[in-house]
Amino acid sequence: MGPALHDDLRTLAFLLGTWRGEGKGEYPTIAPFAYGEEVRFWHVGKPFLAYSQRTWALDDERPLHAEMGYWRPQPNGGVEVIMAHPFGIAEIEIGAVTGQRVELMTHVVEGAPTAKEVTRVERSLHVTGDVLTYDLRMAAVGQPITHHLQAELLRKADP
Amino acid sequence: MLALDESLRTLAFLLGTWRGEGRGEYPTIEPFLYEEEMWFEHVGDTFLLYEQASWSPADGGPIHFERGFLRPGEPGRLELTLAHPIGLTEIAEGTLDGTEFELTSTGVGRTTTGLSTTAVIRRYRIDGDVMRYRTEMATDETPMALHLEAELHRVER
Repeated sequence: MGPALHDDLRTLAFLLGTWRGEGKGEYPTIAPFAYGEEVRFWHVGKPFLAYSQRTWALDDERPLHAEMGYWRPQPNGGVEVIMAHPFGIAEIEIGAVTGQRVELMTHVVEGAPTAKEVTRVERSLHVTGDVLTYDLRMAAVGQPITHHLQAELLRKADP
Repeated sequence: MLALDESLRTLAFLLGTWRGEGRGEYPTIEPFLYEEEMWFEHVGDTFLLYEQASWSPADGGPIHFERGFLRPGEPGRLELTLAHPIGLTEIAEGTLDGTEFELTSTGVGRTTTGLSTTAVIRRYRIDGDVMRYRTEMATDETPMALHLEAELHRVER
């Protein structure tokens, strides 16, 4: 039995759990690709959700991407997401939670010297029951904001 | 078990779970003691996953968390990308010298409600299964000052 859910997290509680599924990626600079993904949201009794995400190539399971961070609910349906990416950037996204829909956009992005150039990310995420779908648009490597990822994940039953 | 990527050989000394105790201080707060666990893992890719949790020795109450990625940069250099639940991101880079490294933040991102941290300097030294680190921090109000000092022991490789 873990700690009780912090009151502030009630608006984000629909995200809790482990989600697994598949997605499709595209971008003007790369060939389209299919990926597997696992997303985890959990809490430790504090007013934030911890968040981890991993994707892998469906053909040979090589790791593709990972994100780690925290989701913080804000008053009036706002949300702040603080996350680190492995390719040298860390990012803050801000947005709004409406029911079980979350819209996020980049607020700050910081890059290390060898980082890929990413200037903006927008995410639309929607949960219906145990199905999570999202779309991600990105402005990077000189491209304007362009559709990049779409996935559908299913919530795994509690162990 | 996934093979460690070639590029991570110089960071393999970090892999595992570390646990120990530390002491925090800052000009604006009362000194405090904390217990801490730290994890460095790899997933077969060119970065390490890094995660940390600290809690109060008195009541086990959570004190701080941070999570992110550590990866080799230019030769002899390291890069860290980090998320803090207090509303901060941290990008740091620095030098790796054997099993010692130093990371200086090059960018701190803040949410509108984030803390007023402006810069962080981290120094780590690993001797076998013992890690010692020292963290300095600057905020809008306080210039760079010692914040954390801890000694951790590897409890699992």
